[in-house]
Amino acid sequence: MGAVVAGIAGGFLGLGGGIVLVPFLTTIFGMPMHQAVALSLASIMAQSIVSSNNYMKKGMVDFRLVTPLCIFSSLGAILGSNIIEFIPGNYLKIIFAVALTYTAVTIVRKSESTREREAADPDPGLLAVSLIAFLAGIFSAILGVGGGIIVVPAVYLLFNYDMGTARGSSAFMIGITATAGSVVYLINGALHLDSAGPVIIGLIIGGWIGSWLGTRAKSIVVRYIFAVAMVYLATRMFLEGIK
Amino acid sequence: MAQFESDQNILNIQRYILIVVIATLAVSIILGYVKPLYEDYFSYAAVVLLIIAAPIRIIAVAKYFKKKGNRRYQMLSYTVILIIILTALVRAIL
Repeated sequence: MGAVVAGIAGGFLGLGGGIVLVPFLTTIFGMPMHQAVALSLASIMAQSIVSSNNYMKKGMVDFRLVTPLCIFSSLGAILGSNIIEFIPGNYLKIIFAVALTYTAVTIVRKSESTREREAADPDPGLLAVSLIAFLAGIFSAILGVGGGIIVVPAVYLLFNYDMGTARGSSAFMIGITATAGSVVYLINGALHLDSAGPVIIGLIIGGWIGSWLGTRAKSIVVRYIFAVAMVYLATRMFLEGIK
Repeated sequence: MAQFESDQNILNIQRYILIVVIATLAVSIILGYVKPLYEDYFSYAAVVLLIIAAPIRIIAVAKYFKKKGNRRYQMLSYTVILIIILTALVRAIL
């Protein structure tokens, strides 16, 4: 049930669903954190397939955006995971929490009529997407969050894509970027498969429902729900930062 | 809202992958009740299938760009596979 809820949230918002699934597995089932993250990553690969298919059917995935996002967010994540020990993580979490809250407010306040005009033919250019994806990768590794929560607002606010395409492209990307992590967890034996079946199936069902709703929901509704998810994450990060 | 072209080939490939994964997981869940000893093998197979799915999806994207005559993005798509391998290697070593 938790996996279905996580899948709905992830599929609807173009995220992995780990934001819901990991706390659920650790608190309700008492699963150790690294096992929950490993299982979440493996499930995200499946959820990404089902969600991106729904978004693709509606023409809401731009592959010119997906390809550099996959490459540079992964490279950024490699760099981020290597510089993490040299960075004061707590301060960064507080700063990022403030930035997330500000972004959430901006997303909600952005006038939709302006957005519709701007989103007529978005062509951000390879260099700009690569740079943002690289930064998103670094931050996601340092802060321990999925790439989607950074990529979706960045693509929406900076490149003038509509919210649907931002989420659809992110839904495709997260499945690809989760693969490398899953390989490592599988090799290291951290991926415990006893509960893998129900969790992955749950995330697939939830992902299908979430993306189906996501392709039909009004942009204003999606923006408000996305903003709520960002504020939730910001609060969690702020509390971790001041610990 | 801007609409982007969806490729039937990518859609079909993703659909087939999903069917195989769901079937494998369903067998794993059923075996969990009948013969729990073999349950993990099928879960393992499903995860391996999902891992293999990533390069297959990317190759489908590369073919889409090839069809469009966009060689730069076609090459970039293949680079994604290299990056996945590189990322896995770096994380495994560190």
